[in-house]
Amino acid sequence: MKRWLMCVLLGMTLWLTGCSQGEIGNKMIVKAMYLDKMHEYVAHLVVLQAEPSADAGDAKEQLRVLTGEGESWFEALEQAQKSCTGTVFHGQNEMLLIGPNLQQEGVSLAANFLVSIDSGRPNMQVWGIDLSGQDFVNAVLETDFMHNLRQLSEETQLKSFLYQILQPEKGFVLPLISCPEEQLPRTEGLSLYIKDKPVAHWDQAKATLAALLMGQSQSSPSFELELSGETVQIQLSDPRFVYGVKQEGEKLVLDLRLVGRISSVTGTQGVVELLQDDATVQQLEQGIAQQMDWLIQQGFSEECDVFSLKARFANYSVTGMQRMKQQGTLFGTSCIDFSSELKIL
Amino acid sequence: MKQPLSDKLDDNIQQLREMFDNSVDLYTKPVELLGLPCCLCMFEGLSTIERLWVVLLARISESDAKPQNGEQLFSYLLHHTEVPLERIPVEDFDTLKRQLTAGTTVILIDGCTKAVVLSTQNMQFRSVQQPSGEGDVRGSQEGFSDLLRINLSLVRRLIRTDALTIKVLYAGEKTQTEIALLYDKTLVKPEFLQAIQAKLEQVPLQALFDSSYLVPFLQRGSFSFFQEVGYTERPVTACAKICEGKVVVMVNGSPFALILPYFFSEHFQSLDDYSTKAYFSSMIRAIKYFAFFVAILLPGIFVSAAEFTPELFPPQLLYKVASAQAGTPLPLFLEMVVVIILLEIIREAGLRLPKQIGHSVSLVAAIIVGDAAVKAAIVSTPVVIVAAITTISIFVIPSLYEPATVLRILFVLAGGFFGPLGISALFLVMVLSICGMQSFGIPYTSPFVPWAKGAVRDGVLRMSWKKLAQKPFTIQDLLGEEQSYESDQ
Amino acid sequence: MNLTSDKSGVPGRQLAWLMAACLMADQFVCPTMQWQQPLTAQWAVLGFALQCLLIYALFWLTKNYGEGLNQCLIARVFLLGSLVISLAVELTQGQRFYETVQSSVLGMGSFLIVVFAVAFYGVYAGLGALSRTAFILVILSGVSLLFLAISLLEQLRFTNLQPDTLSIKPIWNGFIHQASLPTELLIWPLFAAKNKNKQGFFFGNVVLGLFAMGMFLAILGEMALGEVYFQQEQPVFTIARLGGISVFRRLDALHASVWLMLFLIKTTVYCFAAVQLMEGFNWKLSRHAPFFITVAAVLIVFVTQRKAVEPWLFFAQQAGLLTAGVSAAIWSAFHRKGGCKQ
Repeated sequence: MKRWLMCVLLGMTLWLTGCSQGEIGNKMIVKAMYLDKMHEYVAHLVVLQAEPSADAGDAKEQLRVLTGEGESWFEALEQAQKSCTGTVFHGQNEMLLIGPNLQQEGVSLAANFLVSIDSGRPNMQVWGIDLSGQDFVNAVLETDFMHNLRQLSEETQLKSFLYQILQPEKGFVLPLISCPEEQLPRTEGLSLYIKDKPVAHWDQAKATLAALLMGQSQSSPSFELELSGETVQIQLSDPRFVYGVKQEGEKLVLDLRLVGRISSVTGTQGVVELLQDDATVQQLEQGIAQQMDWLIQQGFSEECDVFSLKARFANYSVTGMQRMKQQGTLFGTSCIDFSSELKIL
Repeated sequence: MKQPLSDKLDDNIQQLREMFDNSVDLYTKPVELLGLPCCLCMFEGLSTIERLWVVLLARISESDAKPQNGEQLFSYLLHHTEVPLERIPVEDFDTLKRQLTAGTTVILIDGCTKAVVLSTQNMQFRSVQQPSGEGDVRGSQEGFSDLLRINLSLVRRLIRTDALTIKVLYAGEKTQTEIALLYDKTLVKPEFLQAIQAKLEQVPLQALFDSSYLVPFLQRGSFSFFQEVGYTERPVTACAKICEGKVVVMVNGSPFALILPYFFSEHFQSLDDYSTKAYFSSMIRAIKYFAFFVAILLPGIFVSAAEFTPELFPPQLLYKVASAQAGTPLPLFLEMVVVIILLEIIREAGLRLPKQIGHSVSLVAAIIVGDAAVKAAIVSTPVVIVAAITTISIFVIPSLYEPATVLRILFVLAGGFFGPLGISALFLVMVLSICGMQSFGIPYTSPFVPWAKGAVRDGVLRMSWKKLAQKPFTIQDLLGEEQSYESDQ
Repeated sequence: MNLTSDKSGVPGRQLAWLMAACLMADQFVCPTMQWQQPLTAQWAVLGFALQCLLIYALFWLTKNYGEGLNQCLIARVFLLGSLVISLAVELTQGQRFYETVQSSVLGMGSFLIVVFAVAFYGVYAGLGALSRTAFILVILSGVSLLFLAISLLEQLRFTNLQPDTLSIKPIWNGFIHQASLPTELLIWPLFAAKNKNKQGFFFGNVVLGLFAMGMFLAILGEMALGEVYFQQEQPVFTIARLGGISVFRRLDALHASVWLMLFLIKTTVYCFAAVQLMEGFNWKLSRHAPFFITVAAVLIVFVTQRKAVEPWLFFAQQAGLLTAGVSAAIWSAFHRKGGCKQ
């Protein structure tokens, strides 16, 4: 009797499961998502459709783009998902691309929406891209665009993740990708957002220094810098920031020191020969200090703390930090003492 | 009520013949020994008349003794000659039956209600060979044979102290098969031994041909995939277990000795572990544990991940699995079950067929399953690969082959129908089942759960012999001693 | 054989592992009974420390109430009621966690059948089996935590931590956010009542381990996600989705499988306690009837909740535990003084 009951129960349970949930063969694997806002919200999903092949070694991947438009993000995504027969699978979606119109306003709204549904993983990389929706679709389908984009995302030091842009009141940065015609996509610096609106664009030295300040470092970054009216290309080796907080009376000062080595400096005339006490090196350091000033003024304010500098003060003395905040002396460059110690390689 | 022998020789002979229904192999020869009527009784094939002549008859024929009656002849033979008769004479027909079927010669004497027994066995049996399983690189290559006495001798010559004790029981109403209990009297707990003995004496079997028949009677009543009783074909292993305070049960006619109590961790131990360096044997043991869990869980996890949580796959693998599944007609979990069952059929066929054909079967199976079925898109390569990996992994621990085979199919079904919840639930049930088992009062998961020092010295890792020799391990070191040795069902 | 006729007790150490597994389950399958308030790791940890101190003190208080819980009718009835509600709440939380964990889910019916099938097996496997299984699960959870930490190494930033000046009010808020009487408070002495050796209490170690784990998760989560961590509905699962090891970018399904096992064993333990209490009423029932009655009662409460745990249920559960505890205390005191009239 008991065995019969168990068999009946098991049979019912199997029947309730429907014997199979969405099969993996029917799944459209989303590799990237493009969002923009024109008159309506637009979503393009770059999906991988696996060609049926029992011998998995012969399997070829086929990229498709599913497009949806709607009056809300939900509608746009829903439309995109309905435009195919299979089931859209977001579990391995690692890239979110924000179109030019959406970059002007609404980035964090879109991010918050994606996190609230299973479409978004908290660590999706988020990029701003200068392609319109149609151009994006064409690039994906006609060229090796996705492969180049994936490589760029792996190599670049400038990364921003979905969970970092969920709180617009703290400010966030959006790395930008430029896709010139007939060329490979490349990074175009960072956009600083305060209260969900772009307020500054950082590129070259500012972008590299900003990435270093955010803890995303490359072993040999290179950037352009204006030195005595001339634009030079500088390559650093193992640059990093060293932080230290000291008390000066009632005030806390963050000692920010850039250490590393200069691999090469290339001007219009070619590679510049450098000696340790060379004036060129001093100019270089002054140039970097200027860039840092701008960065800190823009990126460390009441409304924006993308470099988490406030936490540095707080880790030293919470009381001191809060006192400075109340007195209005916490933000900006007034409490940050920047210096650099760059050696010649 | 045992029927005693009569003092009339003819009555005894007639009774004997009736008992065995005039079996053609029962040899009964009336003779005269020292002038008195006797009868030589033996089974042809089990005993040899030549040996009887050499050991007894030749010597008796040269004797000057003149016994007057059967009793005197009996006394003379048993106490006053150098003939190596059995110490205990036969006094009833049950003992007579047992002695004859053991291959001895029984000499019935007219006028005496006792008979003498002479060891004249000459039965054909399989010699001591390498065991069929339990392969190892170093260490003894001897395995038990089918004859109990030979097996006992193999153990006796390895444990040459007075601590080794052997007790013999009989089981099987129709077969009266000998069962031997071997133990170290200084290490084994008396209550434990009594409990085993009591169970064996109450075994209600009609026939006993193999030691495995006894296992259900030695375990607790409730069903479990795993056994609380271990097997070994190696005398060295049996001796090692005896030296740990365990009891070894051997059955006549079976080369597999039972080990009581037996724990889950012992399935992963082998003879080679103690012959190789500690670091290497530790690594191999860890691999065995890994192989076991791969064997039972990998197909189920694969199916569950593919159906319910595909994000678990690395991106490069995901689209291959998706395309493979899209290219085959069956749902993934059904495909996995089919391939597993197919592999089992191939294994069983290879086992039962003669060796000459067995190789061909393997070849054909490999071509059909491995190649043609994939090319015809009936099964997919990821499924075949996973099934093959698990099949090979199972063979790393042969003693767990049965539960692992069934469990992996169950995990596939659980994963296919219920996804991660099903896998978690079934895994939990499996662990509960293992943790709920007790091998004669000691938890089956000892020495890991509850944690005992044996877990560190000789659990997953094995310490060097210098450390192992400092304090030898016995089952008395394991927790759970306070529990009863009686089973509850 | 009924559960109550099994006279052998479980050693204290094993029982401690079982209770540890039950208490740990809530760290991963986050309770949603309490009202959500934004917190930082600092306040969450300090509040949790207070909660752990409270639990520790209460364990000391209740350690001898096992006999009272078994014998005093009022205590038994209220504890049984609390257990039924606790089970219903656990099922709701587990079901919500399960729906968060995977995109394609089983129907509610299948989910409940699986959970109760496991509970059925576990209840009649016995407390010894449950406690030994719990040891293995705690180890597995530890391994899961280790892998979680390793997978998040790339994402951790000290600068995400939100230190603040110490003051009583936020600590108090952090405490209130997490404060509740755990059902294990009374289950532990109930199970330990059979233990011949009453000195096997390891709750100090259990509470310490629980605090260490809670602190670790809070700090790990905040270092990975920043302030956003404590706003998540399933914060630990959210950070599990973040990290990856080598080519395996999404190990959250594996972590969730381990945490689901903790949830399953917790429901099994609650069922076991409920069945044991019910058998104490000595109704002439068949062997498995108490289990099915428990399931029926739980399902009735479960369907009243809809999708969220109703606050009134939480209060009813806490009130039931409190009443049971107080009744057992009075009974124990009364019987200790020998003032019982026959």
